[in-house]
Amino acid sequence: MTEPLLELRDVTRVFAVHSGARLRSRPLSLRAVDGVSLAVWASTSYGIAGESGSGKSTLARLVLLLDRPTSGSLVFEGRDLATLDRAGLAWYRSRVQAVFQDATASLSPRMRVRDLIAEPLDSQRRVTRRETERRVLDLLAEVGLPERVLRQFPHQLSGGQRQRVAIARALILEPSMIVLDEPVSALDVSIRGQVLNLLADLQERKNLTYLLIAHDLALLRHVTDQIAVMYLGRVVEEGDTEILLADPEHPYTRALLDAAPHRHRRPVGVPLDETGSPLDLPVGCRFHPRCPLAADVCRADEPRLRELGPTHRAACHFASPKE
Amino acid sequence: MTEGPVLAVEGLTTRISTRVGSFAAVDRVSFELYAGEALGLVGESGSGKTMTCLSLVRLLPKGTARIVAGSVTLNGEDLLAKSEGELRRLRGRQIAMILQDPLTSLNPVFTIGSQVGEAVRLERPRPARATVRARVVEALRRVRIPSPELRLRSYPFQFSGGMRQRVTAAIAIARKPRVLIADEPTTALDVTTQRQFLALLDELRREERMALLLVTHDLGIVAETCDRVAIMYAGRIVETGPVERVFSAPAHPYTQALLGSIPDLHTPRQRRLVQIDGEPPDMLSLPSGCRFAPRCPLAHERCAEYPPETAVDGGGSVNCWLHAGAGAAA
Repeated sequence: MTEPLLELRDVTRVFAVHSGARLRSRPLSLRAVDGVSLAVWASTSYGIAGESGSGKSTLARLVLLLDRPTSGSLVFEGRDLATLDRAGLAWYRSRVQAVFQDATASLSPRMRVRDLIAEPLDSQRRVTRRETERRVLDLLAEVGLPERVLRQFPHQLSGGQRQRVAIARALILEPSMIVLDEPVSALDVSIRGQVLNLLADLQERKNLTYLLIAHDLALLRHVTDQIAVMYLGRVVEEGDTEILLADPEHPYTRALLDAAPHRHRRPVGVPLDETGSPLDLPVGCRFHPRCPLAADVCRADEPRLRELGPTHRAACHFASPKE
Repeated sequence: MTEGPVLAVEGLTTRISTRVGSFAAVDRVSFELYAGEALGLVGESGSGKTMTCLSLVRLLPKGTARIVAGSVTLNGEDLLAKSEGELRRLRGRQIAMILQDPLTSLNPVFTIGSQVGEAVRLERPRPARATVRARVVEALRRVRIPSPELRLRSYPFQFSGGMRQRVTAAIAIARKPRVLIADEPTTALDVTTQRQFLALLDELRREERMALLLVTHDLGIVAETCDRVAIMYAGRIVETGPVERVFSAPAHPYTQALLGSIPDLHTPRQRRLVQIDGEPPDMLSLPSGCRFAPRCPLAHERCAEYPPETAVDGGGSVNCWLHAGAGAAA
């Protein structure tokens, strides 16, 4: 294939915010996503990692057209999303769907499971009622739910079942891509494996592309092909998941890996100070106040993403190219 | 060391009544905690770990939850026999608790200084104002809040999540309790902030010889910060033991599955994870025997009866029939 399914070109989203203390103060600009470029290829899983404030959720909202970029463009199947008309939007929404962290919040408590799953299809008014019923039943089986839940409300289901309903709802329009925003972090540990395995099976069966947003690097390592690590609005490292996590070049990626709780060893490295504020970005590299390698150059110049290998880029003055 | 445990829990049972029926959220739970030791209490939501903590400090929701059996002994004193007034004097000084979400456990309209000071002012005889202030500054310094003298007059919203959680820790340790209970203290924090907070708990425990009961669903956290671990499932402890033994040779099929189902950074990459089928049980209709049996790949007829506690090689014990015959070697 020659073109990525989804491409972000220098995407920036700036919010005007009022600082907490004074209501009448002049608004500050918060660069939640700042010059992000990335490419997601069809039938692969692309992971976005980052802590709170990294901009990963804003990025998801931009991809879902729940928000528009301040500058830059998003291109899906060759079409610039900013140029879509009504019909174009309907087309995009049938191609790209989402599953969010908290199914309790994303599923209407007043709708029955059957209606929740069928709603996207009903709103597109393209198929007969009989066809809708057939697809709902098929999907129910595919996500591993018994038929009796069709008449039930979300509160009558367990957390894992609710997330399965959310997945079925995302699939009914037969999208090519699903944005998964922390899809298992609200679930119990013993249920996470089931849902992740279901997502892996569905991807294979339906040739789906996943854009997976998560803070858990261990999870991303197992389920994604490519990964981008975000820090205060910027992608600081990007590449093939396996290569990147085995041999990270950005000190922030390394710190995240060191900080992840680990069941075979005691902690290594010095714990980092807290994340900086996206409202008060330092001059130079955004990570330098927390970085163990910070030197004068880091306090003066912001590093750009550089190619370190065919599938590995990092934004660090000290990153070394690979053989 | 011949010193006895600081906290001894024996057969603790707490029942919850709901409109549709009542059940034992905590069922015959026993464990001991020694000075300077960290015990991890691991379980999923609904397994009874938070109810266990709330039972220990007797802060159960009134009217719905009630301790019906067992004993809780703190420094040789029976906590369950205390009056509400006596308990109030013990909380904070002997036993303190940190909750999951610092945003909801701090009052947004009071300053940090007054909230940490509240714990100190509970002392009798009541300390002088200057003493309170000095103790608050000391507590904030202990939890590494930078320039604590200047931060006394800040409000919670002016602090980041990690700093807020450190304030709740300062409240908990202000009176140097012997036992600190931390209920999912880092769930609301980012990983790098979590690492800092866990390092802080570890330091406090070592320096003050505080006993730590760390409640979490994250086995990685337990491996890093605890000496021993107790695994809870549906209200009961199903396995306990030293962290090294439980993680390298888990005895209970639930512990094994739990360890296998968590993505790890250092095991070979796999597209499919070990999965535990089924759902956690409905507490209102528990199976009469082993509660994990309906989801257990190794279940057999004997599991219809609750398995006895059996010692495990390498330390600790397990409640599982697979070990009941052969075990008891330790």
